Formats: sequence, structure tokens, C-alpha cells
Amino acid sequence: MNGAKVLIDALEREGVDVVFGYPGGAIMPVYDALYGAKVKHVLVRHEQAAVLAADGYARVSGRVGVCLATSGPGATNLVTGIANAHLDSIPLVAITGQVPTSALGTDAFQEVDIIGITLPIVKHSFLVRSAAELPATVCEAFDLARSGRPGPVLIDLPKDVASEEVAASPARHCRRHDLPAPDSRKLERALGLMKSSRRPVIYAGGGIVLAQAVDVFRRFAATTGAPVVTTLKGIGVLRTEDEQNLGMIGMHGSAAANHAVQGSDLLIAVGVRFDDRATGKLSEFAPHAKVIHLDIDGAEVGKRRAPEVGLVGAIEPALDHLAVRLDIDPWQRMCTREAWSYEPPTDGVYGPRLLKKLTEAAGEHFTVCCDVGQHQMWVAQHGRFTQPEQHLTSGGLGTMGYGLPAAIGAHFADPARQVINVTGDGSIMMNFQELVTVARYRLPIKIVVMDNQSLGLVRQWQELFFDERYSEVDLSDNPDFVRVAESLGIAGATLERGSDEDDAVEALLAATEARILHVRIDRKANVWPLVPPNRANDDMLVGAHR
Amino acid sequence: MTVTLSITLERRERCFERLTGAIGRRGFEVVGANVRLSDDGEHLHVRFTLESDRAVESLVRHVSNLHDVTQVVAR
Repeated sequence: MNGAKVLIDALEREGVDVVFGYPGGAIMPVYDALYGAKVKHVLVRHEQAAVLAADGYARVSGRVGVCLATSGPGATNLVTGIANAHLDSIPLVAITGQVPTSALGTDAFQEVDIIGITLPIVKHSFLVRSAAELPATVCEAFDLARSGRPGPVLIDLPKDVASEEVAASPARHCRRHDLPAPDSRKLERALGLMKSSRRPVIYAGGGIVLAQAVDVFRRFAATTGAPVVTTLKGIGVLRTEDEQNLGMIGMHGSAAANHAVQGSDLLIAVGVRFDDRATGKLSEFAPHAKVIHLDIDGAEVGKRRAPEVGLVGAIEPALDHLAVRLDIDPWQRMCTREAWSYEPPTDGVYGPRLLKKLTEAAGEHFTVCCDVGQHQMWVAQHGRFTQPEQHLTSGGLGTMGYGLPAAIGAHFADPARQVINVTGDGSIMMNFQELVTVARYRLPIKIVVMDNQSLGLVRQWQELFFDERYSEVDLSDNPDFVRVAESLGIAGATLERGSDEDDAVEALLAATEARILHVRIDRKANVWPLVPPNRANDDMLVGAHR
Repeated sequence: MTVTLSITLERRERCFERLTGAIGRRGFEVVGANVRLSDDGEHLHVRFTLESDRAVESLVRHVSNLHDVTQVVAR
């Protein structure tokens, strides 16, 4: 058996059922080993889509996503997706072909130092020097990717190693990484702060999802009774419609959430990293609050805001320990969810209203895979979610083009799930070629293109902060999205009037095959509220629709 | 501010580069370094002299997260 077969065997031992990739010269032995293997390979049309699909797969399945690419440009095309997984802490193993070991460092054809290029954006990386190392390397890579704070791991596989003959698939040896227990004395100090607080707020992030601690978190939140605000990646840790949930904080957060945090005397931060988009001007973030910060990654505790109590370790036992009823009735009455007017100024389609309807009509077993821009913020603000895996978004990196590949990955993670890619006319063009993948595998993915004929969020900033100097944001020469889809056998429709929103959503969701809904929206529609740069989160611009 | 960081790491592919990259990315400039291979050849003992206006405690936690690193001491 050769190294490539050893690799595929090792992937199968890790329980990998699907990999996303694109073949090329240096990875050919691996593709030869895939021929007839139990592991399903999904052929995308650009390597960036392979890594983003693996990301979407990981977020929905809770397992490690796997992608394959060849050396050189294949490997470099993975870089954005690896960075995306790094910033959002997504468990991923990226396998790249590499030139033969004898050619390493000679500027050989399609040679790039992908290990060096990706050092800042991986949790770890391996250059495999012999086929005998492969079982242990794969085992260790998967363990690293999913343990502690998850993240991407790269395995770079030279072609001669993939072709190297070994007697049999050798035994695997790898280390295991256990979660540290939270410090019991610090837990008691945290409890003391909670009991003496009169205005506590729970600040919940994606770390809760990654720790698979949503149920424990919900019990904790319900027991304490403290108002909950979430980060973009924390959406769904509490049901959107739960009265305790004040919504997302930060630049495009809800007024209720931002005001609660700014007025709080205690911030119970769980699985968050005090990201700049969430905090606004850091020195004025939650200015009256003491902070309890619970996170699996000690490097995040105190990185941007020094906590009074830093709790590093597993989230679940800590939340169980801290689940006490708090005496905060007056504060609870003050922290109420805000009402939003969904009546637009024209008879056109109103983005927030449409996207709210879409998530309300999608039932329970669905996932919305967002792209990046105004539509992404509208989904975060107005979507109805009961579970975090219903909402996939590129939070840390803000990767335009994320949504469609992520939707492909989400489908393969759970084929029975209704998967909807909500995108913009800017984002969809970043990975539009993956419509071919949707058609090839007959994936019943629904695509909603919010088309304002411009790069909306950048245009909004140019309007508000650059004296309406609209520099290079016009996208009115995009192709006809519906006709492109139809050329691949994917049916489509265009929605232009607000009065047709309900019928369009119903038809889209009822379809059993892929559909594209091209939605024309007001070119000047903006996302509100908005906290201007370098301002405190309670210094919001609220726009016209509140 | 100048600090000294003593680090032990497993001798693995690109481990030193991984370490120095992490230090630089977190806002610390390496102004001095001493590297010694352990007697068994399996570890590197590195002593860095670093300059930064950032708190070294945060760097220690980031460096400790690296898979190759087994010990970090700041002075």
C-alpha cells in the first residue's frame, strides 16, 4: 500500500465521510487512492470553495471538515478559507499536495511554501516526511483541530511520500488533549460578583457553540435570569424570540443589547473575545461593569479587556457551578427587547422584513448560510433562530463568497436540512462558479440574492463617513443571476415588489430542487443601527426605520 | 519595555519559525535570541530578549498555545 492509501485509511478511521476538493499534479496519488474509496469526494470548481464547504460542513455537523488541494496555486487558493476557519475557530483539516521532498526549496513547478504561508492562520501544520508517519499525523491533526479551542490544521504531503510503498497501514499513535477544569476559587469569586450585582448582563459568543454547551448555557441563563446579548457568532445560543435575549451587540447590534451592556454593572462574558466589532470603542465599552470572562482559551482572557475574574477551562462545568438565581427584578424590567417597524417607505422589497419572513417560514430544520455585507447584518438582526447551527456566517474574517460554498458543506453535513444561502450581488460573484457544483450534485440549496446593484455596506460607509463619494461600489453590470442559474438547469425568479414577498418565500422554500431568488432592493437601503467607528456602543445612528 | 522570555519547545518541523512568527505578530520585537539544543536532541531551549509596549502576560498565553511549546517563563 502507498502513502496515499494510508492517508485515506487514516481519514476513514477518523470517521470522515466526505471531503471537498479539487485535483492537480502533486495530489494525484491521493486522488488515485480516493477512486473507489468509502470516503465521498465532492468536486468543487475552485479550491477556496473546497475549504469554505469544509467549514460549513464542520459548523453544521460539529465534526472536523476536510478539504484537499494540490500544491502551488491549489494550496494558495485555500488560504482565505483557512484564515476564515482560524478566526472563527472552526475544526478543519486541510490536506495539500506538495512537490517531492527532493524538490523542496528548489522553486519547482507548482511549489509554494504553504506551511510558511499559513503559519499565522493555522492551529498547527505538518509536513509529512514518510508514509509511515501518516497515521499518527492524521490522528494528531484531527485531535488538534477539534480539541480545546478548535481551529484549522494543515497537512502538507509531498508527492513522493504519497507514492511511497509501506508494508501495511501502520498503527497510529497520537496525543490526546483534555480540557482543563475551571479554577474552583475563581468560580467562587465569580459567584460572589454575580450575587452582589444589580445590573448583570450575559455576553454570549460562539465559544458556547464550539464547546457544544448550548443546553447548559440555556439552563444557566434561565436560572440567573440575567439579560443576554450575543455576538454575531453567538446568535442562536438562546432562541431569538426568548424575552431574555436582547439581540446582538456591537456595530450593527440592537439598541436594547448595546444599552444594556453600557449600563451593566457586571458583564458575564462566555465564549467571547471582545472583538472590536462587538465592543466599539474599547475604552468606553461597558464602562461601569466588572467582568467575569469564561473561555477555553486563556489567551483570550485579558487580551482586550482585563476581567475581574478570568475563568479558563471547560465551559459546561463552570456554567453549571455559576447557575444561581439572581435578585435583579428591576433590572430585568428595564432590559426589554426593542420593537422594530417593518413598514418600508416604498412598495419595494424591504430586506429586513423579507429575511425575517424567510427564517420564520423555514421551520426548524434549516440553516441560513450568509455571505458578507448588508444582507448578513439584516439576517443577524432580524432572522429568527432557535439553534446556532441554523445561522452560518463568516464572523471574524468577513469573507465575501463564504455563503454558497458553506451551504454546499452544510447540505452534505445534513442532507435533510433546508439550506438557504442568503447573499448579496457583491458576495455571490466571489464564488458564483459553485452554482455548477450545486447543479452537478443536484443539491436542493436555495439561494437568495439581495441585489442593490452596489457593494452595499461599503456604499453605506461612503455615504455616511466619506461625504457621499461613491468610489468603485457600482455593481450594476452584474450578470442576470436567474439566466445564469437557468443555464445550469436551476430555476429562478425575480422579486421586485413588497407585496409579492410572501408568495416568493413560500415558493422558494417549497421547492424540492435548487432555486435562486433574485431580489431587487433599494439601492440606498442601509443597515441600522450603526455605531460609527471609534465610538461607544450607545452612540448609535438609528436611521429611518425605528 | 524589555522582557526576557525563556521557552522550551519540541524540535519539530518549522517550530522555531512558528514561535518567532507568533511573537512578532503579537507586537513584540526580537532584539536578542539564544538557542540551544537539548542533550537528547529532542527539544530547543530558546531565550529571547523582546521589546514591546504590550503586556508580556498576554504573549505568554499566546505562545503557550503553540503545539510545540512545552514551557514558557517570562522575566
